Amino acid sequence: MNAPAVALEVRNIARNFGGVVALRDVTFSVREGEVVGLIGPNGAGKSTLFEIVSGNIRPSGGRVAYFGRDCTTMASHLRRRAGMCRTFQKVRLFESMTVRQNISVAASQCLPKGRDLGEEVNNILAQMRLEHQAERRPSELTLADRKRVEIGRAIAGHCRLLMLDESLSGLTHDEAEHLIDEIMQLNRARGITVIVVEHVLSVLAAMVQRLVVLHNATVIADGTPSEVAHDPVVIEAYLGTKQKALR
Amino acid sequence: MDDLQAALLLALQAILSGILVGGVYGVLSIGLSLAFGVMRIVNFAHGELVMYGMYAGVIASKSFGIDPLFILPVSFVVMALIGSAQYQLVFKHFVGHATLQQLLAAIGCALVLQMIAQIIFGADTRTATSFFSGQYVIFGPFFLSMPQIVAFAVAVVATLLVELLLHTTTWGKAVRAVADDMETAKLVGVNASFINIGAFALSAGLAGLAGSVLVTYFPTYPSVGFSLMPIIIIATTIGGLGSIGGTFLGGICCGIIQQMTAMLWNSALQDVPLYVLLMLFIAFRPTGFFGLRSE
Amino acid sequence: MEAALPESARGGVAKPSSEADARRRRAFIYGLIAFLLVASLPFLPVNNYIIAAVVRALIFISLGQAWNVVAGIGGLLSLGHGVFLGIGCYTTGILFNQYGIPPWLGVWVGAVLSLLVALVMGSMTLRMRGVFFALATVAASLAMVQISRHFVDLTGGADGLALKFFGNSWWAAQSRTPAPFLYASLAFVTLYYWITRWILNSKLGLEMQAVRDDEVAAAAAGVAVFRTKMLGLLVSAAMTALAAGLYMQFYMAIDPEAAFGLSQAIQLQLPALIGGLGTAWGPIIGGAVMIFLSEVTNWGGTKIGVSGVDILVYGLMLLVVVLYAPKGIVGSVLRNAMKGADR
Repeated sequence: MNAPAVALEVRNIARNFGGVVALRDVTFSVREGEVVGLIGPNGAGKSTLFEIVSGNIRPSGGRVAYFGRDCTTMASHLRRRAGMCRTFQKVRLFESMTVRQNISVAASQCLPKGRDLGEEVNNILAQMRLEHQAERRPSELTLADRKRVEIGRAIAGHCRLLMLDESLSGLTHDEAEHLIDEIMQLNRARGITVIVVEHVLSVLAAMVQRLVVLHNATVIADGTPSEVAHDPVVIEAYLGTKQKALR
Repeated sequence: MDDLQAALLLALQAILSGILVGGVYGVLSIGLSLAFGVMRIVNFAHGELVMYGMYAGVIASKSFGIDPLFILPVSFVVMALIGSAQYQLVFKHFVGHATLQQLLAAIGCALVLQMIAQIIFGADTRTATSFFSGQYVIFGPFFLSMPQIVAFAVAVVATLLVELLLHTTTWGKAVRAVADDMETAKLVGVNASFINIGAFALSAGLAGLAGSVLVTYFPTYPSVGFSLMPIIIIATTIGGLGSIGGTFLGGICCGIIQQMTAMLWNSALQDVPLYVLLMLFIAFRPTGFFGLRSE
Repeated sequence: MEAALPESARGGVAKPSSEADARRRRAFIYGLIAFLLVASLPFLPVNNYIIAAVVRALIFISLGQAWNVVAGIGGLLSLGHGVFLGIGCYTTGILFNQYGIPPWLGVWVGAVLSLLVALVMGSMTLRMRGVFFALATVAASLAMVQISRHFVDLTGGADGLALKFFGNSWWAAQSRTPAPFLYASLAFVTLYYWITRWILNSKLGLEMQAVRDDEVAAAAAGVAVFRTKMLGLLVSAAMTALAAGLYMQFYMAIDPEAAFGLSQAIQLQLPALIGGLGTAWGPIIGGAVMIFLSEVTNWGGTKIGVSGVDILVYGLMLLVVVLYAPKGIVGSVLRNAMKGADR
């Protein structure tokens, strides 16, 4: 049996802002088809790492490879066209455009030859349960639906790796459960590799196969949720609020 | 050899008059820089405030026979009041973000202020006479205009006073705190709206004062603001939006480059290198030499 | 569970598309009526003064439509479109006066030159954000004022350039009466309206709007941000330069301030800003309202012996629009009126 390919490889990534070290020597990899959580307290460097992987910040050192291809200096729109897709911590939709247009703009950039744009957009709308919202503008939607649109926009056209930046925060318990279901569905049905960034562990434990813990600008643990939860280094450094975070 | 000497003398003359003219550009610009530094407002109507200061000088000189230099405090106060009104009516809504809407609103203000001036003062070009008008100083081989020397001195004093105000008074320190970081300043209890209106009044007052100085050797007309605005923007951008001392030096740079171009190349093209410089600065160093972080 | 959300309160869930269709049809009918009315002006008992005013309005509108493409749809508030207006006018004029090349050809040369200049300007300025882009384009425009003043042999210097007059002539695209220009400018406005509509619905248009709304998110959706901005600027520059050909034939003269000056740069923006940025109808309605108001106020101003009142009105309108109706007339006033009619 072939081992699944490595979807994302982050090797020795470092980044300084002036004198401040945001990341140092960060290394981890994600295999195709995995669902991986990237966690860490505020200020641990998650956002910086996320922006480096999606191409908005250049690292001071180290490299990022996507399915074996180096993409450290690739422009962010080219990463998206290659299938590296992302959402934003604070939902960023095209506010003047309808939901359908939001999704279609992304789909039209990277739709494989021979597939119909309208059909793809309809598929995405159905998948994200947004058919009835298709002609609305984002400002008319609830937060949960806005997050759905953003995920729909992220996966439209061509997506192999989906990176979610705190997509679950701000949602009620039910809304978060539904969204997790949908994300897992994308993972299973479309074979999309998923990386979820969160600062609270509890919501992730149920969905991810593996957790990467970032603390003080570097990786301090990498393993299954239960391994991580029992890792003394993690408990020491990050889960000082263990009771709260794990509940 | 003589040619070289003559060219060198000409260059030195250009630098000297450039410094004099540039000092006034500096004081014209520090108000704009202050408003941007504190509130992130690009007041495109700054030139119009200068224009009213210039007309104040014209009226003082022609109607009352008073030297424009004596009415500097009056111009300052009147324009500060007009500036506060402008802030309350328009710019209050845009504090904190240099948005396009804000720029458009400022352009709207500029048009309105320009046309009010044209209705009040007429479209003609007007001049003011100062005690020093028409006098020259021969300084070795150099030839300097007395009104420009006096205006330069006033500009230096005014800039130093502003720096002193910002660095020694409680209010000034609060202004600098807001300029540094508005959110944090609010957290430590600075009343930001009070600071803002004060800073805007100071910015407008400086424009008025600078106008009354400038009019001692530069004629005024209703759209003079649009003629001055490019230089003001360039001086501010080169020196650094938000830095008072930097902006003043930026003004001097502009003056020197402009005079050098005019004397050594072609006076009709005196501003072209400045425009190119502005584009280069915006493209590669939008914070200028001494500026705050960019937006 | 979604049915409980505010949409039920909005009432319009059923068929938003048919509502939009009705609105579109009504807009089309109004447009057709306006078109026919303007086209029949020469046959109505109207004097040439009024026809000339309408031509001015239409030229103004077509320039506004061109600016609307880059600023309204693309979100790039260029204050440098005077550059393309000036290049269009000067190229047509110089080629005609000095080389006898008819404006029918000259205007295309002007458009190509504008494209080249836009390419250079764009590669320098398009990576800048917001206000800085606006300031950089102002600088480009003002540099052109001094440059065009300097090359007196070519441009006529500060006095400007006047076309040699040939009377009524097809070859020189000149006419003693304004009626031919009425049809030419009406054709421009109609064509530019359809171009705007086409862009709005095209892939490029969607990309431009995405970039306008959020550059980072657009890149994250796979849009090539710089390339999109550049394409928008190029289209807009070419449209401006072509309309400038008409401007030159109608006004018969151009000077550095009228072409590249700050006042002109600001006036080029007003139709779209007042009418509604990024809409196909915006510049048309905005331009018509503006020229109407400026003719009325100028007429009133000369009665009481004051000039320049129209600029005052422009300034006030700009302030009102920015402060109270950021979506312009089409976005705020008309939209509400139409919604009211639908209910």
